[in-house]
Amino acid sequence: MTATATMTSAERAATAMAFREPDRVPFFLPVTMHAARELGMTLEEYLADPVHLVEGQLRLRAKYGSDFLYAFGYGAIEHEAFGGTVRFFEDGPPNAADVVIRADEDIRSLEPPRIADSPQLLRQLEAVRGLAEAAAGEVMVVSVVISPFSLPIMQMGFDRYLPLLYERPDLAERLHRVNEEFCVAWANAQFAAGADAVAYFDPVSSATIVPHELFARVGLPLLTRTIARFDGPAAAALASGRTLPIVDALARSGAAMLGASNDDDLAEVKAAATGRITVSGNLNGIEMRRWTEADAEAAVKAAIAAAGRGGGFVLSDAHGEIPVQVPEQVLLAMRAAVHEWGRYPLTWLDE
Amino acid sequence: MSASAPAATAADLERALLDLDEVAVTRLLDAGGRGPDADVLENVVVPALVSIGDAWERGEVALSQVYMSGRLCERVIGSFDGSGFEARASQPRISIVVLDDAHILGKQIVVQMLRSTGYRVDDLGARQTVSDVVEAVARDGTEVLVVSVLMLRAALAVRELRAALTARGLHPVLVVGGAPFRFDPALVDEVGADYGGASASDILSIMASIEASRR
Repeated sequence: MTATATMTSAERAATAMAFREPDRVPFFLPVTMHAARELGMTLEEYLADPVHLVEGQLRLRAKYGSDFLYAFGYGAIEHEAFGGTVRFFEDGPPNAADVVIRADEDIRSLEPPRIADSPQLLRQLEAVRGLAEAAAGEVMVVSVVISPFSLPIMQMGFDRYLPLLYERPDLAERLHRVNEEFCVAWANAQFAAGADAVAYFDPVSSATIVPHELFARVGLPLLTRTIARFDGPAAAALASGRTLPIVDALARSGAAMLGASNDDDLAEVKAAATGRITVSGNLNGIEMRRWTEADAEAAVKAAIAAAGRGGGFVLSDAHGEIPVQVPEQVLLAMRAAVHEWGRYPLTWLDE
Repeated sequence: MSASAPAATAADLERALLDLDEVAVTRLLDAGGRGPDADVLENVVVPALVSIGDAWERGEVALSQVYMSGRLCERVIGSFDGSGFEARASQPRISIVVLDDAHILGKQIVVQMLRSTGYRVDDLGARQTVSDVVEAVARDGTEVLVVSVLMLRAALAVRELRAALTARGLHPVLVVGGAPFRFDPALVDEVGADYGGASASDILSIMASIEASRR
Protein backbone atom coordinates (compact mmCIF):
# COMPACT_ATOMS: atom_id res chain seq x y z
CA MET A 1 0.00 0.00 0.00
CA THR A 2 1.24 3.49 -0.74
CA ALA A 3 1.33 5.38 2.55
CA THR A 4 -0.97 8.36 2.70
CA ALA A 5 0.92 11.50 3.67
CA THR A 6 -1.75 12.93 5.92
CA MET A 7 -3.32 10.03 7.75
CA THR A 8 -5.32 10.72 10.86
CA SER A 9 -4.33 8.80 13.94
CA ALA A 10 -7.43 6.65 13.54
CA GLU A 11 -6.54 5.83 9.93
CA ARG A 12 -2.98 5.08 10.95
CA ALA A 13 -4.09 2.68 13.68
CA ALA A 14 -6.72 1.01 11.51
CA THR A 15 -4.25 0.48 8.69
CA ALA A 16 -1.68 -1.05 11.00
CA MET A 17 -4.30 -3.27 12.59
CA ALA A 18 -5.30 -4.47 9.13
CA PHE A 19 -1.70 -5.69 8.76
CA ARG A 20 -0.72 -3.04 6.26
CA GLU A 21 1.95 -0.40 6.64
CA PRO A 22 0.47 3.08 7.25
CA ASP A 23 2.47 6.30 6.97
CA ARG A 24 4.32 5.57 10.20
CA VAL A 25 4.21 3.23 13.17
CA PRO A 26 1.26 4.10 15.41
CA PHE A 27 2.29 5.24 18.88
CA PHE A 28 0.22 4.53 21.98
CA LEU A 29 1.48 6.33 25.07
CA PRO A 30 -0.72 5.32 28.04
CA VAL A 31 -0.06 8.29 30.29
CA THR A 32 -2.72 8.53 32.95
CA MET A 33 -1.11 10.00 36.06
CA HIS A 34 0.95 12.52 34.10
CA ALA A 35 -2.32 14.23 33.22
CA ALA A 36 -2.89 15.21 36.85
CA ARG A 37 0.50 16.92 36.92
CA GLU A 38 -0.23 18.59 33.60
CA LEU A 39 -3.35 20.10 35.14
CA GLY A 40 -1.61 21.00 38.40
CA MET A 41 -3.82 18.87 40.62
CA THR A 42 -3.59 15.78 42.76
CA LEU A 43 -4.31 12.45 41.15
CA GLU A 44 -7.39 12.06 43.32
CA GLU A 45 -8.69 15.44 42.17
CA TYR A 46 -7.95 14.53 38.56
CA LEU A 47 -9.88 11.27 38.81
CA ALA A 48 -12.82 12.81 40.67
CA ASP A 49 -14.13 14.82 37.71
CA PRO A 50 -14.45 13.47 34.16
CA VAL A 51 -13.85 16.95 32.80
CA HIS A 52 -10.32 16.75 34.20
CA LEU A 53 -9.64 13.39 32.58
CA VAL A 54 -10.85 14.63 29.21
CA GLU A 55 -8.86 17.84 29.37
CA GLY A 56 -5.77 16.09 30.70
CA GLN A 57 -5.72 13.39 28.07
CA LEU A 58 -6.32 15.86 25.24
CA ARG A 59 -3.45 18.03 26.47
CA LEU A 60 -1.13 15.05 26.76
CA ARG A 61 -1.99 13.80 23.33
CA ALA A 62 -1.18 17.22 21.90
CA LYS A 63 2.11 17.23 23.79
CA TYR A 64 3.31 13.67 23.32
CA GLY A 65 1.67 12.72 20.05
CA SER A 66 -0.07 9.50 21.00
CA ASP A 67 -2.19 8.08 18.21
CA PHE A 68 -4.82 6.94 20.71
CA LEU A 69 -6.85 8.61 23.43
CA TYR A 70 -6.70 6.59 26.64
CA ALA A 71 -10.03 6.67 28.44
CA PHE A 72 -8.63 5.06 31.56
CA GLY A 73 -8.75 6.37 35.10
CA TYR A 74 -7.70 3.50 37.32
CA GLY A 75 -8.26 -0.25 37.42
CA ALA A 76 -9.43 -0.35 41.03
CA ILE A 77 -12.58 1.50 39.91
CA GLU A 78 -14.08 -1.94 39.30
CA HIS A 79 -13.18 -2.97 42.83
CA GLU A 80 -15.11 0.07 44.03
CA ALA A 81 -18.07 -0.99 41.93
CA PHE A 82 -18.10 -4.28 43.83
CA GLY A 83 -18.15 -2.39 47.13
CA GLY A 84 -14.44 -2.13 47.81
CA THR A 85 -12.44 0.89 48.86
CA VAL A 86 -9.48 2.42 47.11
CA ARG A 87 -6.35 4.09 48.40
CA PHE A 88 -5.01 7.01 46.38
CA PHE A 89 -1.36 7.99 46.06
CA GLU A 90 0.34 10.94 44.49
CA ASP A 91 3.11 8.93 42.94
CA GLY A 92 1.38 5.80 41.76
CA PRO A 93 -1.91 4.34 40.62
CA PRO A 94 -4.74 3.90 43.13
CA ASN A 95 -4.83 0.46 44.72
CA ALA A 96 -7.56 -1.65 46.25
CA ALA A 97 -7.44 -0.98 50.00
CA ASP A 98 -9.41 -4.02 51.10
CA VAL A 99 -11.01 -7.19 49.81
CA VAL A 100 -14.69 -7.59 48.99
CA ILE A 101 -14.66 -11.37 49.25
CA ARG A 102 -13.76 -11.94 52.88
CA ALA A 103 -14.53 -15.65 52.93
CA ASP A 104 -14.43 -17.97 49.93
CA GLU A 105 -18.03 -19.03 50.52
CA ASP A 106 -19.08 -15.38 50.02
CA ILE A 107 -18.65 -16.09 46.33
CA ARG A 108 -21.87 -18.10 46.36
CA SER A 109 -23.88 -14.96 47.08
CA LEU A 110 -21.82 -12.52 45.01
CA GLU A 111 -23.72 -10.71 42.29
CA PRO A 112 -22.43 -8.38 39.57
CA PRO A 113 -22.92 -4.73 40.51
CA ARG A 114 -25.08 -2.46 38.37
CA ILE A 115 -23.19 0.25 36.57
CA ALA A 116 -25.93 2.73 37.39
CA ASP A 117 -25.26 2.18 41.09
CA SER A 118 -21.58 3.16 40.87
CA PRO A 119 -20.86 6.89 40.83
CA GLN A 120 -17.27 6.13 39.91
CA LEU A 121 -18.25 4.11 36.85
CA LEU A 122 -20.77 6.75 35.79
CA ARG A 123 -18.04 9.40 36.01
CA GLN A 124 -15.78 7.23 33.91
CA LEU A 125 -18.51 6.92 31.26
CA GLU A 126 -18.74 10.71 31.17
CA ALA A 127 -15.01 10.79 30.52
CA VAL A 128 -15.37 8.29 27.67
CA ARG A 129 -18.15 10.39 26.15
CA GLY A 130 -16.07 13.53 26.44
CA LEU A 131 -13.05 11.96 24.78
CA ALA A 132 -15.16 10.40 22.02
CA GLU A 133 -16.74 13.75 21.29
CA ALA A 134 -13.37 15.45 21.16
CA ALA A 135 -11.90 12.66 19.03
CA ALA A 136 -14.56 13.21 16.35
CA GLY A 137 -13.53 10.02 14.60
CA GLU A 138 -9.97 11.15 14.00
CA VAL A 139 -8.38 9.21 16.86
CA MET A 140 -9.36 5.92 18.47
CA VAL A 141 -10.61 6.10 22.05
CA VAL A 142 -9.44 3.11 24.10
CA SER A 143 -11.15 2.15 27.35
CA VAL A 144 -10.20 -0.52 29.86
CA VAL A 145 -11.87 -3.45 31.57
CA ILE A 146 -10.31 -5.90 34.01
CA SER A 147 -10.84 -9.48 32.89
CA PRO A 148 -13.10 -11.79 34.92
CA PHE A 149 -10.04 -14.02 35.33
CA SER A 150 -7.87 -11.25 36.80
CA LEU A 151 -10.35 -9.11 38.78
CA PRO A 152 -10.30 -11.60 41.71
CA ILE A 153 -6.77 -10.41 42.53
CA MET A 154 -8.39 -7.23 43.85
CA GLN A 155 -11.59 -8.89 45.03
CA MET A 156 -9.89 -11.39 47.34
CA GLY A 157 -6.12 -11.01 47.14
CA PHE A 158 -3.68 -12.94 45.01
CA ASP A 159 -2.66 -15.25 47.85
CA ARG A 160 -6.24 -16.49 48.28
CA TYR A 161 -7.22 -16.48 44.62
CA LEU A 162 -4.51 -18.84 43.45
CA PRO A 163 -5.50 -21.62 45.89
CA LEU A 164 -9.11 -21.05 44.86
CA LEU A 165 -8.19 -21.74 41.24
CA TYR A 166 -6.48 -24.98 42.16
CA GLU A 167 -8.58 -26.24 45.05
CA ARG A 168 -12.08 -24.82 44.60
CA PRO A 169 -12.77 -24.77 40.85
CA ASP A 170 -16.49 -24.70 41.63
CA LEU A 171 -16.22 -21.39 43.46
CA ALA A 172 -13.72 -20.06 40.95
CA GLU A 173 -16.14 -20.77 38.13
CA ARG A 174 -18.97 -18.98 39.91
CA LEU A 175 -16.73 -16.01 40.60
CA HIS A 176 -15.67 -15.89 36.95
CA ARG A 177 -19.30 -16.05 35.79
CA VAL A 178 -20.26 -13.13 38.02
CA ASN A 179 -17.25 -11.15 36.86
CA GLU A 180 -17.98 -12.00 33.23
CA GLU A 181 -21.45 -10.47 33.47
CA PHE A 182 -20.03 -7.32 34.99
CA CYS A 183 -17.16 -7.15 32.49
CA VAL A 184 -19.48 -7.45 29.49
CA ALA A 185 -21.85 -4.83 30.84
CA TRP A 186 -18.99 -2.46 31.66
CA ALA A 187 -17.26 -2.92 28.31
CA ASN A 188 -20.46 -2.39 26.39
CA ALA A 189 -21.38 0.67 28.43
CA GLN A 190 -18.05 2.15 27.43
CA PHE A 191 -18.61 1.23 23.78
CA ALA A 192 -22.01 2.87 23.96
CA ALA A 193 -20.35 5.96 25.40
CA GLY A 194 -18.08 6.15 22.37
CA ALA A 195 -15.07 3.95 23.02
CA ASP A 196 -13.63 2.48 19.83
CA ALA A 197 -11.81 -0.39 21.54
CA VAL A 198 -11.39 -1.88 24.97
CA ALA A 199 -8.17 -3.10 26.54
CA TYR A 200 -9.00 -6.35 28.33
CA PHE A 201 -6.52 -6.36 31.22
CA ASP A 202 -5.74 -9.98 31.98
CA PRO A 203 -2.34 -10.51 33.65
CA VAL A 204 -3.45 -13.79 35.23
CA SER A 205 -3.77 -15.35 31.76
CA SER A 206 -0.10 -14.70 31.06
CA ALA A 207 2.49 -17.47 31.20
CA THR A 208 4.14 -15.52 34.02
CA ILE A 209 1.20 -16.16 36.33
CA VAL A 210 -0.48 -19.45 35.40
CA PRO A 211 0.71 -22.55 33.53
CA HIS A 212 -0.57 -23.16 30.05
CA GLU A 213 -2.87 -25.94 31.22
CA LEU A 214 -4.74 -23.60 33.55
CA PHE A 215 -4.88 -20.83 30.94
CA ALA A 216 -6.17 -23.23 28.29
CA ARG A 217 -8.76 -24.74 30.63
CA VAL A 218 -10.01 -21.59 32.35
CA GLY A 219 -8.52 -18.27 31.23
CA LEU A 220 -8.77 -18.75 27.48
CA PRO A 221 -12.40 -19.93 27.30
CA LEU A 222 -13.33 -17.11 29.65
CA LEU A 223 -11.49 -14.56 27.52
CA THR A 224 -12.92 -15.88 24.27
CA ARG A 225 -16.46 -16.00 25.57
CA THR A 226 -16.30 -12.62 27.27
CA ILE A 227 -14.88 -10.58 24.40
CA ALA A 228 -17.24 -12.28 21.94
CA ARG A 229 -20.03 -10.53 23.84
CA PHE A 230 -18.40 -7.10 23.49
CA ASP A 231 -19.93 -4.59 21.11
CA GLY A 232 -16.49 -3.69 19.78
CA PRO A 233 -12.91 -4.90 19.45
CA ALA A 234 -10.75 -5.89 22.40
CA ALA A 235 -7.03 -5.94 22.99
CA ALA A 236 -5.61 -8.61 25.29
CA ALA A 237 -3.39 -6.62 27.66
CA LEU A 238 -1.37 -8.89 29.93
CA ALA A 239 0.13 -6.07 32.03
CA SER A 240 3.79 -7.12 31.85
CA GLY A 241 2.96 -10.82 31.81
CA ARG A 242 4.78 -13.11 29.40
CA THR A 243 2.86 -13.34 26.15
CA LEU A 244 4.87 -15.43 23.66
CA PRO A 245 3.70 -18.84 24.93
CA ILE A 246 0.06 -17.91 24.33
CA VAL A 247 0.27 -15.84 21.13
CA ASP A 248 -1.34 -18.59 19.09
CA ALA A 249 -4.23 -18.92 21.53
CA LEU A 250 -4.76 -15.17 21.68
CA ALA A 251 -4.72 -14.97 17.90
CA ARG A 252 -7.55 -17.48 17.78
CA SER A 253 -9.48 -15.91 20.64
CA GLY A 254 -10.98 -13.02 18.71
CA ALA A 255 -8.77 -10.38 20.32
CA ALA A 256 -7.64 -7.71 17.87
CA MET A 257 -4.38 -6.92 19.61
CA LEU A 258 -2.07 -8.30 22.27
CA GLY A 259 0.52 -6.59 24.44
CA ALA A 260 4.08 -7.91 24.56
CA SER A 261 5.97 -7.80 27.86
CA ASN A 262 9.56 -7.00 28.71
CA ASP A 263 10.09 -10.72 29.26
CA ASP A 264 9.12 -11.41 25.65
CA ASP A 265 11.36 -11.22 22.62
CA LEU A 266 9.35 -8.68 20.64
CA ALA A 267 10.54 -10.02 17.28
CA GLU A 268 9.44 -13.54 18.21
CA VAL A 269 6.04 -12.30 19.35
CA LYS A 270 5.60 -10.37 16.10
CA ALA A 271 6.68 -13.38 14.02
CA ALA A 272 4.13 -15.58 15.75
CA ALA A 273 1.43 -12.91 15.44
CA THR A 274 2.03 -11.72 11.88
CA GLY A 275 -1.15 -11.45 9.89
CA ARG A 276 -3.23 -12.81 12.78
CA ILE A 277 -3.22 -10.33 15.67
CA THR A 278 -1.68 -6.89 16.11
CA VAL A 279 1.18 -6.56 18.60
CA SER A 280 1.72 -3.61 20.92
CA GLY A 281 4.72 -2.96 23.12
CA ASN A 282 7.13 -3.40 24.62
CA LEU A 283 8.96 -0.39 26.00
CA ASN A 284 10.10 -0.84 29.62
CA GLY A 285 8.19 1.68 31.73
CA ILE A 286 10.26 0.97 34.85
CA GLU A 287 13.61 1.60 33.17
CA MET A 288 12.11 4.53 31.29
CA ARG A 289 12.31 6.60 34.47
CA ARG A 290 16.07 6.90 34.14
CA TRP A 291 16.42 6.92 30.37
CA THR A 292 18.35 9.63 28.65
CA GLU A 293 16.94 10.97 25.41
CA ALA A 294 19.44 8.77 23.60
CA ASP A 295 18.20 5.73 25.54
CA ALA A 296 14.62 6.55 24.57
CA GLU A 297 15.54 6.84 20.92
CA ALA A 298 17.47 3.58 21.03
CA ALA A 299 14.57 1.74 22.67
CA VAL A 300 12.09 3.06 20.13
CA LYS A 301 14.37 2.10 17.22
CA ALA A 302 14.91 -1.38 18.65
CA ALA A 303 11.18 -1.99 19.02
CA ILE A 304 10.40 -0.74 15.53
CA ALA A 305 13.22 -2.86 14.12
CA ALA A 306 11.85 -5.90 15.91
CA ALA A 307 8.20 -5.57 15.03
CA GLY A 308 7.50 -2.70 12.67
CA ARG A 309 7.72 -4.37 9.28
CA GLY A 310 4.45 -5.19 7.61
CA GLY A 311 2.20 -3.24 9.93
CA GLY A 312 0.41 -5.15 12.66
CA PHE A 313 2.40 -3.23 15.27
CA VAL A 314 1.67 -0.39 17.65
CA LEU A 315 4.60 1.05 19.61
CA SER A 316 3.71 1.26 23.28
CA ASP A 317 4.90 0.30 26.72
CA ALA A 318 4.84 -3.23 28.13
CA HIS A 319 2.40 -2.64 30.95
CA GLY A 320 -0.44 -0.36 29.89
CA GLU A 321 0.38 2.61 32.11
CA ILE A 322 3.47 4.79 32.12
CA PRO A 323 4.76 5.44 35.67
CA VAL A 324 4.38 9.06 36.70
CA GLN A 325 8.10 9.09 37.56
CA VAL A 326 8.99 9.00 33.85
CA PRO A 327 10.15 12.53 33.03
CA GLU A 328 8.67 14.67 30.30
CA GLN A 329 11.87 14.80 28.27
CA VAL A 330 11.82 11.00 27.91
CA LEU A 331 8.23 11.05 26.66
CA LEU A 332 9.09 13.82 24.20
CA ALA A 333 12.15 11.88 23.06
CA MET A 334 9.98 8.85 22.35
CA ARG A 335 7.62 11.01 20.32
CA ALA A 336 10.52 12.41 18.31
CA ALA A 337 12.01 8.97 17.79
CA VAL A 338 8.82 7.39 16.48
CA HIS A 339 8.49 10.24 14.00
CA GLU A 340 12.14 9.94 12.98
CA TRP A 341 12.40 6.15 12.77
CA GLY A 342 8.81 5.02 12.38
CA ARG A 343 8.08 6.30 8.88
CA TYR A 344 7.17 3.49 6.55
CA PRO A 345 8.59 1.70 4.61
CA LEU A 346 11.31 1.75 7.32
CA THR A 347 14.13 1.91 4.73
CA TRP A 348 16.71 2.48 7.46
CA LEU A 349 16.34 -1.16 8.42
CA ASP A 350 17.91 -2.15 5.11
CA GLU A 351 20.88 0.23 5.40
CA MET B 1 19.37 -40.67 53.92
CA SER B 2 22.81 -41.27 52.41
CA ALA B 3 24.90 -38.42 51.01
CA SER B 4 24.93 -40.11 47.62
CA ALA B 5 21.13 -39.91 47.23
CA PRO B 6 20.32 -36.17 47.58
CA ALA B 7 20.60 -34.97 43.95
CA ALA B 8 17.97 -37.42 42.67
CA THR B 9 15.75 -36.82 45.67
CA ALA B 10 15.83 -33.04 45.19
CA ALA B 11 14.54 -33.59 41.67
CA ASP B 12 11.90 -35.93 43.06
CA LEU B 13 10.83 -33.30 45.56
CA GLU B 14 10.71 -30.66 42.87
CA ARG B 15 8.49 -32.86 40.73
CA ALA B 16 6.23 -33.75 43.66
CA LEU B 17 5.88 -30.08 44.62
CA LEU B 18 5.04 -28.98 41.09
CA ASP B 19 2.54 -31.82 40.87
CA LEU B 20 1.08 -30.64 44.21
CA ASP B 21 1.38 -34.26 45.35
CA GLU B 22 1.15 -33.91 49.11
CA VAL B 23 1.54 -37.64 49.71
CA ALA B 24 4.78 -37.78 47.76
CA VAL B 25 6.13 -34.59 49.35
CA THR B 26 5.41 -35.93 52.82
CA ARG B 27 7.12 -39.21 52.01
CA LEU B 28 10.18 -37.48 50.64
CA LEU B 29 10.55 -35.19 53.66
CA ASP B 30 9.56 -37.57 56.42
CA ALA B 31 12.32 -38.85 58.67
CA GLY B 32 10.43 -41.06 61.05
CA GLY B 33 7.76 -38.42 61.60
CA ARG B 34 10.22 -35.75 62.69
CA GLY B 35 10.53 -34.07 59.36
CA PRO B 36 13.63 -33.06 57.46
CA ASP B 37 16.96 -32.75 59.22
CA ALA B 38 19.73 -30.32 58.30
CA ASP B 39 21.09 -32.61 55.59
CA VAL B 40 17.70 -32.92 53.90
CA LEU B 41 17.04 -29.19 54.21
CA GLU B 42 20.33 -28.26 52.58
CA ASN B 43 20.59 -31.01 49.99
CA VAL B 44 16.96 -31.68 49.07
CA VAL B 45 14.61 -28.87 50.05
CA VAL B 46 16.84 -25.91 49.20
CA PRO B 47 17.88 -27.17 45.77
CA ALA B 48 14.30 -28.20 44.95
CA LEU B 49 12.92 -24.76 45.80
CA VAL B 50 15.78 -22.96 44.09
CA SER B 51 15.23 -25.05 40.99
CA ILE B 52 11.55 -24.15 40.94
CA GLY B 53 12.43 -20.48 41.31
CA ASP B 54 15.01 -20.70 38.54
CA ALA B 55 12.47 -22.43 36.32
CA TRP B 56 10.12 -19.47 36.84
CA GLU B 57 12.90 -17.07 35.86
CA ARG B 58 13.41 -19.06 32.67
CA GLY B 59 9.68 -19.01 31.97
CA GLU B 60 9.30 -22.77 32.41
CA VAL B 61 6.92 -22.63 35.35
CA ALA B 62 4.34 -20.03 36.32
CA LEU B 63 4.10 -17.93 39.46
CA SER B 64 1.02 -19.85 40.57
CA GLN B 65 3.07 -23.04 40.53
CA VAL B 66 5.83 -21.40 42.57
CA TYR B 67 3.30 -20.18 45.11
CA MET B 68 1.30 -23.39 45.37
CA SER B 69 4.39 -25.59 45.60
CA GLY B 70 5.93 -23.35 48.23
CA ARG B 71 2.68 -23.35 50.16
CA LEU B 72 2.60 -27.14 50.08
CA CYS B 73 6.22 -27.43 51.14
CA GLU B 74 5.76 -25.07 54.07
CA ARG B 75 2.58 -26.85 55.14
CA VAL B 76 4.16 -30.32 55.03
CA ILE B 77 7.30 -29.24 56.88
CA GLY B 78 5.18 -27.45 59.45
CA SER B 79 3.13 -30.60 60.03
CA PHE B 80 6.09 -32.48 61.47
CA ASP B 81 7.17 -32.14 65.09
CA GLY B 82 10.69 -32.35 63.85
CA SER B 83 14.08 -30.91 64.64
CA GLY B 84 15.12 -29.67 61.23
CA PHE B 85 14.84 -26.08 62.32
CA GLU B 86 17.54 -26.62 64.89
CA ALA B 87 19.95 -26.42 61.98
CA ARG B 88 19.25 -22.70 61.85
CA ALA B 89 19.75 -21.98 65.55
CA SER B 90 22.46 -19.46 64.74
CA GLN B 91 20.60 -17.65 62.00
CA PRO B 92 20.39 -13.87 61.88
CA ARG B 93 17.13 -12.22 62.94
CA ILE B 94 15.14 -11.91 59.73
CA SER B 95 12.13 -9.69 59.13
CA ILE B 96 10.11 -9.39 55.96
CA VAL B 97 7.71 -6.66 54.98
CA VAL B 98 5.68 -5.28 52.10
CA LEU B 99 6.52 -1.59 52.14
CA ASP B 100 3.60 0.79 51.62
CA ASP B 101 2.01 -1.69 49.27
CA ALA B 102 -0.74 -4.27 49.59
CA HIS B 103 0.54 -6.86 47.14
CA ILE B 104 1.66 -9.71 49.38
CA LEU B 105 2.15 -12.66 47.04
CA GLY B 106 5.89 -12.13 46.59
CA LYS B 107 6.35 -11.83 50.35
CA GLN B 108 4.34 -14.98 50.94
CA ILE B 109 6.51 -16.93 48.53
CA VAL B 110 9.71 -15.70 50.18
CA VAL B 111 8.31 -16.61 53.62
CA GLN B 112 7.51 -20.08 52.28
CA MET B 113 11.06 -20.43 50.96
CA LEU B 114 12.62 -19.34 54.24
CA ARG B 115 10.41 -21.36 56.59
CA SER B 116 10.61 -24.45 54.40
CA THR B 117 14.38 -24.35 54.67
CA GLY B 118 14.57 -23.96 58.42
CA TYR B 119 14.70 -20.19 58.82
CA ARG B 120 12.59 -18.33 61.34
CA VAL B 121 11.27 -15.10 59.92
CA ASP B 122 9.24 -12.28 61.46
CA ASP B 123 6.49 -11.35 59.05
CA LEU B 124 5.77 -7.66 59.53
CA GLY B 125 2.85 -7.78 57.08
CA ALA B 126 1.86 -5.39 54.34
CA ARG B 127 1.03 -1.71 53.94
CA GLN B 128 3.73 -0.84 56.44
CA THR B 129 5.08 2.69 56.28
CA VAL B 130 8.73 3.62 56.55
CA SER B 131 8.29 4.64 60.18
CA ASP B 132 6.42 1.39 60.96
CA VAL B 133 9.31 -0.61 59.60
CA VAL B 134 11.97 1.41 61.38
CA GLU B 135 10.18 0.92 64.70
CA ALA B 136 9.85 -2.81 64.07
CA VAL B 137 13.53 -3.15 63.18
CA ALA B 138 14.52 -1.27 66.32
CA ARG B 139 12.13 -3.29 68.47
CA ASP B 140 13.08 -6.70 67.09
CA GLY B 141 16.79 -6.23 66.53
CA THR B 142 16.34 -7.17 62.88
CA GLU B 143 19.61 -8.11 61.24
CA VAL B 144 18.27 -8.95 57.79
CA LEU B 145 15.35 -6.93 56.45
CA VAL B 146 13.64 -8.28 53.34
CA VAL B 147 11.43 -5.76 51.53
CA SER B 148 8.99 -6.98 48.90
CA VAL B 149 7.12 -4.59 46.60
CA LEU B 150 5.06 -4.65 43.42
CA MET B 151 4.56 -0.95 42.78
CA LEU B 152 7.35 1.32 41.55
CA ARG B 153 6.44 3.99 44.09
CA ALA B 154 6.97 1.47 46.90
CA ALA B 155 10.31 0.40 45.42
CA LEU B 156 11.47 4.01 45.39
CA ALA B 157 10.37 4.38 49.02
CA VAL B 158 13.09 1.91 50.01
CA ARG B 159 15.55 4.79 49.58
CA GLU B 160 13.69 6.69 52.27
CA LEU B 161 13.59 3.57 54.41
CA ARG B 162 17.35 3.10 54.18
CA ALA B 163 17.92 6.73 55.12
CA ALA B 164 15.52 6.48 58.08
CA LEU B 165 17.18 3.31 59.35
CA THR B 166 20.60 4.88 59.11
CA ALA B 167 19.46 8.01 60.88
CA ARG B 168 18.22 5.82 63.69
CA GLY B 169 21.56 4.01 63.88
CA LEU B 170 20.10 0.81 62.46
CA HIS B 171 22.00 -1.10 59.80
CA PRO B 172 20.24 -4.33 58.88
CA VAL B 173 21.27 -6.06 55.70
CA LEU B 174 18.64 -4.78 53.27
CA VAL B 175 17.32 -7.25 50.70
CA VAL B 176 14.76 -6.12 48.12
CA GLY B 177 12.65 -7.94 45.59
CA GLY B 178 9.60 -7.57 43.40
CA ALA B 179 8.65 -6.64 39.88
CA PRO B 180 10.23 -3.15 39.78
CA PHE B 181 13.61 -4.59 40.74
CA ARG B 182 13.24 -7.35 38.20
CA PHE B 183 12.38 -4.98 35.37
CA ASP B 184 15.13 -2.54 36.36
CA PRO B 185 17.93 -4.21 38.35
CA ALA B 186 19.71 -0.86 38.65
CA LEU B 187 17.02 0.11 41.16
CA VAL B 188 18.63 -2.14 43.77
CA ASP B 189 21.70 0.06 44.07
CA GLU B 190 19.72 3.23 43.52
CA VAL B 191 17.60 2.69 46.61
CA GLY B 192 20.57 1.66 48.74
CA ALA B 193 19.76 -2.01 49.13
CA ASP B 194 22.48 -4.58 49.79
CA TYR B 195 20.94 -7.38 47.78
CA GLY B 196 18.21 -7.70 45.17
CA GLY B 197 16.39 -10.88 44.21
CA ALA B 198 15.10 -11.47 40.70
CA SER B 199 12.94 -14.31 41.94
CA ALA B 200 11.76 -15.40 45.37
CA SER B 201 14.13 -18.36 45.50
CA ASP B 202 17.09 -15.99 45.25
CA ILE B 203 16.50 -15.37 48.97
CA LEU B 204 18.15 -18.69 49.73
CA SER B 205 21.42 -17.89 47.96
CA ILE B 206 21.29 -14.39 49.41
CA MET B 207 20.90 -15.77 52.92
CA ALA B 208 23.80 -18.16 52.30
CA SER B 209 25.92 -15.21 51.19
CA ILE B 210 24.91 -13.13 54.20
CA GLU B 211 25.66 -15.96 56.62
CA ALA B 212 29.01 -16.66 54.96
CA SER B 213 29.99 -13.01 55.34
CA ARG B 214 29.15 -13.13 59.04
CA ARG B 215 31.42 -16.08 59.76
